Amino acid sequence: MIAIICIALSCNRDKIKADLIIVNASIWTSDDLNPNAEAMVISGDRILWSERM
Amino acid sequence: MVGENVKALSYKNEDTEVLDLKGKFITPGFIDSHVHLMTGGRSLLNVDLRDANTPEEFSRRVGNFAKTLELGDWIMEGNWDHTLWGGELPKKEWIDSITPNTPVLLFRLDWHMALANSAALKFAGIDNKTLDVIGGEIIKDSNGQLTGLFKDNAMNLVLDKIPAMTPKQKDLAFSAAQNYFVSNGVTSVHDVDGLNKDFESYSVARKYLDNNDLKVRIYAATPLNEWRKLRDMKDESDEWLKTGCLKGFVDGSLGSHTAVFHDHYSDNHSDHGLFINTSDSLYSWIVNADKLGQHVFVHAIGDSANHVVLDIFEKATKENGRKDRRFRIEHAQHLLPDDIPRFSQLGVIGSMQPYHAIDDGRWAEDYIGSERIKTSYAFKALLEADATVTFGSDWAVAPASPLLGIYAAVTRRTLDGKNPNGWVPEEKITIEAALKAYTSTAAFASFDDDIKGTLSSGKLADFVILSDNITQIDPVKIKDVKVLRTYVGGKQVFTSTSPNDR
Repeated sequence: MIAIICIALSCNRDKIKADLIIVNASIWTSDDLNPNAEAMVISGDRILWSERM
Repeated sequence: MVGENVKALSYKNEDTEVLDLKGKFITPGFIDSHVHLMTGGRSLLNVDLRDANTPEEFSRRVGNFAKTLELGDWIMEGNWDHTLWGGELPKKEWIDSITPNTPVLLFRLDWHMALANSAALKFAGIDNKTLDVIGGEIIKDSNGQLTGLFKDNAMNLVLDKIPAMTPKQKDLAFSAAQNYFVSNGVTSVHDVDGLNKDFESYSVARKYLDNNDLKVRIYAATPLNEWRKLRDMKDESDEWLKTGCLKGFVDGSLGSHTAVFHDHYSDNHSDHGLFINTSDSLYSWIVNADKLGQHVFVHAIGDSANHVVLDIFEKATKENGRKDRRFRIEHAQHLLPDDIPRFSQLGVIGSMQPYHAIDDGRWAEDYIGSERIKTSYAFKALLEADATVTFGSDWAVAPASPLLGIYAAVTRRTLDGKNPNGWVPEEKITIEAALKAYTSTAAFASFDDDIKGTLSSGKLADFVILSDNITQIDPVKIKDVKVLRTYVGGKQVFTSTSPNDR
C-alpha cells in the first residue's frame, strides 16, 4: 500500500511542474463541489489541484 | 500536517516555492463587476472631498490642492457629498476666489452632478444664456444666475471642453488604479468605461499587458450607442484584457434626483426623475447589439427605469430568440415588487453595489419614503427569487473594497451608525452569498466562469490571502479584515507592508 502511494507521488513529481504550493491554509473555493481546502498547487498561471483527498 | 497537505507537497520539486500559511484564509481573487477605472485612477491623484463635511473644509481642500498645480491643469473629481454638511448644494462662489486661474470641475460622488468654477465656465463658454440640454439640467439660483452646478447630461457642456487626458496622465491614473485594486484583493474588474473615448483604459491596459506590467484582468465596456464601433473593432480578447460588452444608461441617480420612479419623489411631488435615453433608442441599440452576440449592460436605478429596461430585455429576447446572453442591469437599485421575479424569469443579472446601500441608506427614505426602501438594494429578495446577483463597487463612486462591500451586504449598517441591526435588515444576506457575488457569480457575469471565480483545478490562480477567516468572524468585524497578499495568474502582485499583517 505504502509503495503504491509512493509510486503515485513520484509520478506526480515527474509529470508536473509545481511553481507554488500553499499548505496549512483555510481555503474557501467558491466551488460548491469542493467548498473548502487546506492546500493548493499552482503550476504556471493555473491551479493544478485544490480538492480534498 | 494532514493528508491534503502531504498530497500537495508531493508535487514539490527543487524549484517549487512552498508557502505555509499557518491557517490563514484564502478566497478566489475578488472580481469587481462595476468600476470606472480611468476616472477612479485620476481621483487617486486629485483632491479628495469624499469626507469633507463642511463647506469650509470643501473650500480649504480645493484651495490647497490648487497650489500644487501648474498653469493650465484642471482640478477634477473630488467626489463630494453634500449630505455630509446638511444638504446645501455647493456653488461656484465657494471656490472661485481660491481658484481664479485654475479651472475646476468637481463631481458629486455619484457622478450625476458636478460643480464648475468661474474659470471652467469661461473656458467652456457657458453663461446665463446657455440652453439646457435634454437629459440634464443647468442649475441656476433664484435670480437666474449660474450656480456652477450641472446635472447629468448638462455636465457634458463642460466635460466636452476639457482637454483629453495626456498619455502621461492616463499612464499615472492607470498605474494608480491597478495598484489600488490589487491592494484591495481585486484581481479582475469590469471597467464600464473601458472603451469610452473620454476615459478609456483599454489602450493603456494593452500597453501594460504587452510590457508584462498588467496586474488585474479587465473586461472593458464600450458605450451602448457605439455598438457599431465594437462590431468593427478587432477582437483581441484574452484572459487579461477582454472586450465584447456594452454599457448604456436609462436614468440618473437617486442622490441627484435623476433616478426615474413610477411614483413621484417623496420630497418633491412634481419630480419623477430623468430619463437619459428614450426606450426606443435603447431598444434599437440593444436588439442590434444582441444580434451580434455583444454583451449588454444597462444602468438603471429608479423602479420605473428598471421596469423599462426589463421590458426592453424581454422584447429583445423575443425578437432575437433564446440564447445565453446574460443581459445585465447595472445597479438594479430600486425595484417594483412585481419586477423582482422577472430577473430570473428573463435571465437578467443584477449587477449591484452593496456599499451604496449603507451610504444611501442614510437618507434614501427622505427621498423615496418608507415603502419603496423595502425593495431597495433587495439582495435577499432577488437571490430568493433565483436571480443571479453579482457585486461591484462603482468605484470611484464608492471604495473598490470587496471586503467593505461584503460587510455592507451582510450587515447593512449605514455609514452614520444609525442602523446597527441593518437598514432594511430583511435584505441582509449571508457572507457566503456575498463572497459568491464577488467571485464565481462575477465570473459568470463576464462569461468567464470556465476560467476563474472558483479555486478549482484548471482555473486561473487568482486568489487573495486575508488576515481572518471572514466566514467565521462576527460580520461587523469584516470591515477591519486586511488583505495580506494578492496573486494573479500565480504571481504575487500585492503584499501588505504593514508589519502587523505578516
